[in-house]
Amino acid sequence: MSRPAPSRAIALSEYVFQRLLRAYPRAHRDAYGEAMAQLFRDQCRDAWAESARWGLAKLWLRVLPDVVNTSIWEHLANLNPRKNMGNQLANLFRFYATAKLATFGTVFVIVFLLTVCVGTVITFILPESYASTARIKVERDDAILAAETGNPVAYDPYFLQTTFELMQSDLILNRVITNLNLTMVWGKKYYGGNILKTSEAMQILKGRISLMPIRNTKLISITAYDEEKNEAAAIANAVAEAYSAHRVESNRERIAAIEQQYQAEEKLLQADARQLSTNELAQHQAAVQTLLTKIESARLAARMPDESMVEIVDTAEPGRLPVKPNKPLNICISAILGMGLGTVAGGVAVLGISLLRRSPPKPAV
Amino acid sequence: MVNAPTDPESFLPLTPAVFHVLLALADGERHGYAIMQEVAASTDGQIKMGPGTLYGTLKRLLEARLIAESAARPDPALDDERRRYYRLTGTGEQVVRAEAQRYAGIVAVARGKKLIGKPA
Repeated sequence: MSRPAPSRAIALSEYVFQRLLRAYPRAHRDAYGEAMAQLFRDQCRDAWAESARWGLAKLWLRVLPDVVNTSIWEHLANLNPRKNMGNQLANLFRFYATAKLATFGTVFVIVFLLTVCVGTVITFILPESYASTARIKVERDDAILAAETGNPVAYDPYFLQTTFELMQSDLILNRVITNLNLTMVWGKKYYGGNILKTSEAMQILKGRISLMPIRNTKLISITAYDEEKNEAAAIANAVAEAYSAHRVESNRERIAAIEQQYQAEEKLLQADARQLSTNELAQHQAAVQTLLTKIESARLAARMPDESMVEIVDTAEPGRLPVKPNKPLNICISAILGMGLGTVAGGVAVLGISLLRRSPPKPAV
Repeated sequence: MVNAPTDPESFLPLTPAVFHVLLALADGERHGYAIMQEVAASTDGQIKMGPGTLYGTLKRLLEARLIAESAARPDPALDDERRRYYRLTGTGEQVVRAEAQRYAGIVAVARGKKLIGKPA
């Protein structure tokens, strides 16, 4: 008896065992219930002294089948063969009702508690994950111009979908990986300090971001998940910023391309003006005019503040509480699952009793 | 109450649980926990009786009058006075002897067929 006996663990076991004693016939309980409880108490103390909680668990693994088997046995033994057929049938009915209920209840409670315990333990073992969400407002380039010039633009049904795909593309996420140095940060965190390949960091990153459109608005929410709350916020903000920067750069590249095209066209016009027919000259002049309009429009767009194309409405802030695992939800699911499994297991046990009914065991002595 | 048959042979063969309980009481009277410990010790821990099995067996042995509850109670200073002690009856002693003889016969047969060695 080297270990101090934890009164709570043993007291709980005793309490459960006292409840289980109800599975026995009343007469047996009255005669031996107290002695059985006392024996179980002694066994609990021995088990605890042997190997603490594991010892108690092993004791329960022995005692539970013992209670189920012997309670059924005692009910069968209670059937008095000297009684008339009516009494025997009534006894049989009472026995099976009691035994079935007791067995079902015992098995149900055990399976239920086991499932809830396992679910709870797993929930508390799982690593915690924080979520942070940034929200951006996106506009089409030509929509900005339309607002500026007053010319209407056609609705583009693919714009949001394209934006979504673009935001999840390597083009944008590579910027995020570079800006946050994720190959090194995640390498240290998950791979013992080895720097990750960009493709490996990309794979991790893609699994950690989630994009959602906000209905009937031009807003998109970018949610990032991570074990560290600050990193989750940094990732969400970095995705928003990377997309915004990409849009600005794309617009500048577009202007440069149109300007090059314009200069080439104008050079051609000046060089060949004398040799061109009136019609050809008119066509060239029209082309130059179109390019000029395009350049003007693009420059106008370029003059617009960067936020006009992509506006970061809400920056992501570190979350206060982890979102995963959802402990209350997981425990509730475990409880529901436990009830289901307990019902099935109880049903199987009752079926076992029904099979026993066909061939009741003979007394031992 | 069941009328006990007078012929010990009529009880044989005994179930392992019954035989071990009777063997445990062969040395003298014991309470339930002591019986359980004796059975575990004599079987090298192979048989660890649960409360249900032990008291179910004791009940049937009492009904068959192979054992009896002892009127003696332990000194409260030494042990829990609520403990109930059991002892072998005369019939019980005859039955356990008969069963032990039966086992001895079986062992002799097995030894004759060289299935087991001679005791050291």
